Amino acid sequence: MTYPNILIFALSAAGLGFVCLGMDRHAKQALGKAPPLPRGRARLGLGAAMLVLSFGSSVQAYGVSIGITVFFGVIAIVSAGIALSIAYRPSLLRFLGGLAALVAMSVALAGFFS
Amino acid sequence: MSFNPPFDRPRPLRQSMAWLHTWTGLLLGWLLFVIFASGSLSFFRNEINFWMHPELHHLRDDARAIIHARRVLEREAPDSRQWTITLPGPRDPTLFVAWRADVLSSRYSSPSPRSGASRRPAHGSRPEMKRLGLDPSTGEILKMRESSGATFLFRLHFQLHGVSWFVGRWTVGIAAMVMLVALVTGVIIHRNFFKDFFTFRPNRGKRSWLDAHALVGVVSLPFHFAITFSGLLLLGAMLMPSVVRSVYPDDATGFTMGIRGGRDRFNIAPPSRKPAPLGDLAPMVDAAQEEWRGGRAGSVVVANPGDAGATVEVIQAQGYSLANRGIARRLLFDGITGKRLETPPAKASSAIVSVWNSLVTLHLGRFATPVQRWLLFLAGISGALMIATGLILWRISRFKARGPGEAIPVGCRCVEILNVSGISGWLIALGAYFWAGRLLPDTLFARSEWEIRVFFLAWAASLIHATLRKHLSAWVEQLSFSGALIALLPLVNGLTGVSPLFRSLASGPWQVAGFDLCALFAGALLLFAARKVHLHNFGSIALHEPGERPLPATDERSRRR
Amino acid sequence: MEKRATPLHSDKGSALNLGLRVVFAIFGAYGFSVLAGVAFARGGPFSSPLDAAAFSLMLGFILNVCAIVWVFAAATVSRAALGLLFPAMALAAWLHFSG
Repeated sequence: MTYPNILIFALSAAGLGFVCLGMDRHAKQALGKAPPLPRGRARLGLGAAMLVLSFGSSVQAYGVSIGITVFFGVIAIVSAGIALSIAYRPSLLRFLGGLAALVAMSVALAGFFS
Repeated sequence: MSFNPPFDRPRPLRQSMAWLHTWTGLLLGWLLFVIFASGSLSFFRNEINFWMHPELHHLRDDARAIIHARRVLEREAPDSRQWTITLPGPRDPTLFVAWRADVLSSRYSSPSPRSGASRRPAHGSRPEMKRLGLDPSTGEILKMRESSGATFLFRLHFQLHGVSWFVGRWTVGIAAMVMLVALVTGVIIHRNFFKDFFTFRPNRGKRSWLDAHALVGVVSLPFHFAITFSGLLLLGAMLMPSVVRSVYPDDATGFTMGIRGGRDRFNIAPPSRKPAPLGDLAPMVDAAQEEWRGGRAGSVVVANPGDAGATVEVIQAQGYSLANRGIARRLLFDGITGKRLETPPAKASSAIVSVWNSLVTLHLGRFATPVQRWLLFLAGISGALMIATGLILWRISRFKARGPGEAIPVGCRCVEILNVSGISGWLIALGAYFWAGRLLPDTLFARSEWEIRVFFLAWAASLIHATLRKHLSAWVEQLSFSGALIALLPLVNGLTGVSPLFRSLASGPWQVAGFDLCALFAGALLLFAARKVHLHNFGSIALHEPGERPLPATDERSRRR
Repeated sequence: MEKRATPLHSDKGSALNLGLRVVFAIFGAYGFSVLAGVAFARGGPFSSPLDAAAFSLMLGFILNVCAIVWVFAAATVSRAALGLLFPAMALAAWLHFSG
């Protein structure tokens, strides 16, 4: 797995994780209670922003057509993973967003300095 | 849902679309499952072919490959006007050489009015090519056992088997159109598209199957649409010939050739008729790879070898744009001196043709790196799962909808039998095919046909088994058998080949390691599924009614910490 | 699943309705989309026959799906048929008179 792939994957995981936690139903499953409306919206917004970054890095690494393809492919896998993890181990999601964001930032920094 | 068409009375749109979705899905679901499953496997055609030829497993990439290739070509095709060398790579360590048999230089043949000009390929066909596989370390010509390989699965995907190519492709084309209708109606009837995006509730009977069906469908929805639509486009000229004929009135193959880049790409520049020794190819390949900063060279095309006007084109292994048919970067060198020549720019496609190309190239996956190839494969498998869960969902709905004490309706029983044999039965046939591919003796007459016969015999046997056994027992037995067949494939490989898993993981060809690992994983998944069905069979007599709390199945107890 | 409405019409009428819609969906939708494809290919402002053929094929398949959905979504069979027939006749007339 090369560096751009890891970045795209981490940003997608973080983005989708935050989007998921922004939904009342899944926030209840993962964290125990639904978030107040502004916080839920903030999570959705942050998640969406990370997804946009993931899309951007995919297009930057592979060009428009292949970049879009790779992005949707990664989204598919990560979404399925999140759905299964909520179903069987909801508490995992608690850490997903933050962890993936951390990975994404460190990979981006590593790429920036390499 | 029983067969009660609501169309003769006022009804909401959702009801019409639900009926249409159910019946398009049901009638062609089994065929579409086979198309999706064989198509997904075809993304790894090279790797599967390689696994099925253990006599090639000792091959390793070698820096001298190009030298051997050139030596063999000079021996076998000295007067051909175009050589193509396909260098070994991560997908296949075999070195391939090919040459144009239809365009010969005039050095060794008597001058004729036609010599010097490149003959146009026969009407509608590609130029005649001859091809050899070589060992990249020694240049030895490889003798390969006769095997249908993954090409059988590839053909099964778009033109079926046992019928003419016309009937096969039309059937697949109709199935693709029906699939598109099923996708569109599925999106229309899906409530809460975004709210339910991550929803999956296990152990709830029909609700869980519906969640699974929706989940696999929605997460890779762009792929399902793109692959299905592009599948139609690939068969487009055959499915709607009048449209093509209306703009190409006299040219039967003008469209199909044009959309693939035109006949011009088969033209070779006329030779200068002055013999000159061909320069070293290896430094040209090295120069190209250096220019691409690590990008690997995939193939080398030599035009007019042995002539003073010879040119060498080095083509990168990795495509960079879908819009231009997955085209790769290419560098042109002078054949004698090795100097860089100005590469003619690739013909830009118009916007419309770019859209067509992007979709079709995505479907064929010819551009893909290993990671991208895995993404495409998983998207295809999710499509197959979407269809399978849909078929099972129909059966569960119908089973629940019958009244108390009512016998299983004939239609539902047919669906049960076809579900088991179409899904797990097809997987048994697949496993049997790979077993036969490795175990059938090399000297068997019509060996490749026998491999295919084994496939269909196994499939037929599973159909008979599904008819004779009770539904859930049939599922358990067939899932277990297919799981065992597939999980034992690495053992078959180890016993009949030179690179068993422990060796291929350490140093051997990773194509073989990849196949073995996937077989283990897939076999394990199937056995796990068989166990789940078995426990379900013994954990409850009837499926849960809506509103009822789910029965505590035995496996749930074992899952609790 | 929706509750089944009390059948106000005979089962035979229901079968005929469905049968007609299936015929229209299979043949009518195909005929309509091929007509539309040919009309666009001939009449559209394309820079090359390749563009015309590619675009018209893509359009043809999309229209085919839409037509099939229309046939089953239309409130009555006659509306389903006319929804295909009117545009098809208009296209056929255009093709005939434009040569």
